[in-house]
Amino acid sequence: MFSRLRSLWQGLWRRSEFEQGMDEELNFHLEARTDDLMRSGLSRDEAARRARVEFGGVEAYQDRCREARGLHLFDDILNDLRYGLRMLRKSPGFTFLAVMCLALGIGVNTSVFTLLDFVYLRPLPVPGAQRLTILSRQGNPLFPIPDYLDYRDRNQVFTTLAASFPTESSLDSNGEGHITSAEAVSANYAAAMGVSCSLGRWFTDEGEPVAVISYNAWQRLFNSDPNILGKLVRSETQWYTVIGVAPPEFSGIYAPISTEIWIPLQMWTRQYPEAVKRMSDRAHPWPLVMIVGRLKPSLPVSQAAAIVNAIDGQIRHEHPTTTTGALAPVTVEPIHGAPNPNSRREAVPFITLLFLVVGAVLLIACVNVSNLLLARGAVRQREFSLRAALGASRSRLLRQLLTETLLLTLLGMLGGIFLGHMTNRLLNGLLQSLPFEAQMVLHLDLSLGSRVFAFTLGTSALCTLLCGLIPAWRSSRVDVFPVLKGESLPKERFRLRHVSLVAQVALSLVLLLCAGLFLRSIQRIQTADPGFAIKNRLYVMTYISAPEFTPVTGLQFYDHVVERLRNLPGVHSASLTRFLPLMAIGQETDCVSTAGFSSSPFTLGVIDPNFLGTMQIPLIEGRNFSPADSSSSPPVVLVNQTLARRFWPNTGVVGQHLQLGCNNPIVAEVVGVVRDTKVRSLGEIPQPHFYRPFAQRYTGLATLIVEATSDPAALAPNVRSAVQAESDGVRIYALEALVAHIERSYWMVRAESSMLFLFGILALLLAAVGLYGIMAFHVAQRTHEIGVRLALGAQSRDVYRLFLLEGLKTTLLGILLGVAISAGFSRLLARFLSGLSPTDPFTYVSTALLWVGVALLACYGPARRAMRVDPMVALRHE
Amino acid sequence: MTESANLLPGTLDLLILKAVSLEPMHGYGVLLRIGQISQGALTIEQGALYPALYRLEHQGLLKSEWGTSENNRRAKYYRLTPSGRRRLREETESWNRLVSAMGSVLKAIPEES
Repeated sequence: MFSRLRSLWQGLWRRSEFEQGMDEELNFHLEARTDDLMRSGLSRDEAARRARVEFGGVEAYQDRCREARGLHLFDDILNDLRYGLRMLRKSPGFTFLAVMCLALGIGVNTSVFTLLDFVYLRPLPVPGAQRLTILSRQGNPLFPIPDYLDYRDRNQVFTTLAASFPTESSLDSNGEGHITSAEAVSANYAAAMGVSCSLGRWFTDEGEPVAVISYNAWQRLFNSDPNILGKLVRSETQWYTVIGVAPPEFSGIYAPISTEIWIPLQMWTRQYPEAVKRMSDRAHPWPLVMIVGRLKPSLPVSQAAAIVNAIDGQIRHEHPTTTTGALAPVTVEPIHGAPNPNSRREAVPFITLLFLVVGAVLLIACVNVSNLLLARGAVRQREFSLRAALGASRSRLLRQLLTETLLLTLLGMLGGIFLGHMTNRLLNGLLQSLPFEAQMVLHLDLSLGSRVFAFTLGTSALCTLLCGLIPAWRSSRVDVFPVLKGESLPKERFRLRHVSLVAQVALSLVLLLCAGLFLRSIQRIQTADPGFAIKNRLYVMTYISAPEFTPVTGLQFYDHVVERLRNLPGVHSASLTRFLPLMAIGQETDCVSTAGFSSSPFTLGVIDPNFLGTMQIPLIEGRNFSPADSSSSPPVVLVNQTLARRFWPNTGVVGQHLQLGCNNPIVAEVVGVVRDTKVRSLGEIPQPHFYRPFAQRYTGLATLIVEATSDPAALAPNVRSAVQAESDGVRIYALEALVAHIERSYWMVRAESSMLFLFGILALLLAAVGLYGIMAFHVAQRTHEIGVRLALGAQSRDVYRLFLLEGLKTTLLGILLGVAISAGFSRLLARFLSGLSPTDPFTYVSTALLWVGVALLACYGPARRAMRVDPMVALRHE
Repeated sequence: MTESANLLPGTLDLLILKAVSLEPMHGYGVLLRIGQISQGALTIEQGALYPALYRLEHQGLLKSEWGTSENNRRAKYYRLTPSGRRRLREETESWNRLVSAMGSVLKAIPEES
């Protein structure tokens, strides 16, 4: 076996040497024979002639020698490739169209696979990433700190087991505040991850106020300051010395959100009395941490899981009071893609949808190319017949045709990789320009890696078979005699092509429908009434903390700021709330119950007495909060209509009492009912929601809202200085128009829908081109028949109608099929449509009409051509 | 000229292996050697020799290298490899078995009927 490969290898790579050697060897034979014959008395010429005759056909034997070496197969392939390239060059229009179709199809698939690779497959960019694992329990990656410490100290399977608490944190630099994502991590975090620093070093002590910042934060917030080490940055209430800058490729374990600052876990918890108190409390643990472990070499993950669960069992045994009921076992899994199982799970529906969509685009492209090849095959019948007559076997023709398709897909693949790369760059740019929430950075590394290339190669191979097999099979079945005699070709059966056309129309309709539904839901969101006023309003997100402020001075500070803002020229009113409604990261929630009714947590707004007025949310019943509702007065609460209906459908609401809080509930009196507003998303149906006075639920965080009398943008500088004038200890995270915040609240839906819209249009175009091509070919093939019809007295209008109707019939069939398929997908779609029915009739009808219009356009040209057929020319055509 | 026999299919390989097993030789030498040993009884189509040589080399039964011929010309010399030697032994044995079997069949005297 080995010797055969070696001899084939030598034959292939030292081809000229091989040929030269063979020539020389045969020449030697002929000369030696000639010498021998001359010795027996013949003249030189006669001897040479006899030697040749005895030898036989030199060329034929050389061929057989090559064959003996297995070289002929490669020679054939080379010939096929050369011939194929010549054929493609001869019809540049066809080649361009086919390559474009394939490049589009392969390109979008490459792009989407890159996304999948990032979320699910790619190892973390650290040394020895394949040994990194993450712990979770029923998909939840958060564990109490005492459990973490026990796992860490008792296990024998991890070289390091690290903990990380992902959180949002303020990060102050050069007097400016930013909200960033932070990880409060155990001291062994860097050792577990195997990550080093671009600049400086990682901390190895949890008790010191030191921090490592991300490369991105270093560039973005500190202008790549070379003297960053030793500088102080502030996160929440604590100042930290920067001792390191992480490498550019490392963005923490909270993908797709990239971590900007790593701080020691103990330092972080010391800021919060609540954390200090509950950290070691196994019954009500907080904060909860993610656990990442580096496995010892050559240890299977399953064994690690068994050990961790054994330790977990011990813990439950030693602290039996901590749990109610049995806990699910702990899962230990290697980290591929995004480490956080929640991120991975949340991406599943969207990536599935994307793959279905781009898969459909690819299928349409392949069917298109297949149709083009079929049409070309019919045109090239004469050529194939000739080759068959000259002795080419069917398998030889088949191979030739598949080689041509392979060339097409290879070109398509190159185009696809290029297109995919461009799409990824576009996507990256888009994501970076979209502020996800305030200033948090989304990190998607969409670079093409070896896995992506392998995928693209596989896709292209699949494409070759998908587009090439049927046309090659059909075209290679040639009937030699009638063609060579110049008779008309046997009538091509159109069934197959009709089937593929219907499939194409159906698929592209499904995609268009998806896109249409997304557009509709965007439109609905844009025109939706949030239930509060948006125009002419600015918001300012601010934060104050110890040591500058206590809860008492903090409340005073905000009272003064609101007063100051209200007195600014051009300001109509000013108020504050802790968080704006419609934040993409979610809303504050709290448990609500009455004597006879308990519920899951409801969303909660923390507001001052002016909020309802500034936002124009009408009070339906009872009274608004007043300055008298202070931290020392009895707790009060406002509820929205939906909550009121849920709890007291039949009785009066004002004066009722609610228990608030999940752990240590307090009793609050309902003082009023306000109208429903949108809280989580603009598309939602009204949910129960309640409000509490800012004074009774103070933290340092507040969002100030300013209603301007005219253009709010001009007001922004004055607002900023007014806030800062009150104290320089205040940090401003965001200051912009409320409209911008509202628009940002649905950027995800918008990004999804623009992507789908693009794919939908792409599919429509591809399918329309396919329809046009087939109809045009159809007309060309039936020129003779049309001529006969016209000669027998048919009107050209009839011919026109005939072809138009034929195209329309196919389209309608496709539309029906497409609608049926979409109805099957409606459950998957419903997840994305924020309230819109996935069988929205308006979208269905308009999409179907759009397709009919496109079909008419695509068939118009060919039908016109059919109408203009000159019967005399057509009949002489054969 | 002596009477010559056409080769049975498949026997060319065996003849080549046998000829080459005596000493390394070039293609023309193989031809002469076969003619010489069989005293002209076996004729080989000259051209057909080379595809057979290439095939045997491809299968790893022969090895070739360039050398100088008796009349001082560059020629390609073939040599038996160990697996070629093994093959020759096997083929020879099976040929002998075939010949003796054929011989005993052909020698059989018809029984009295």
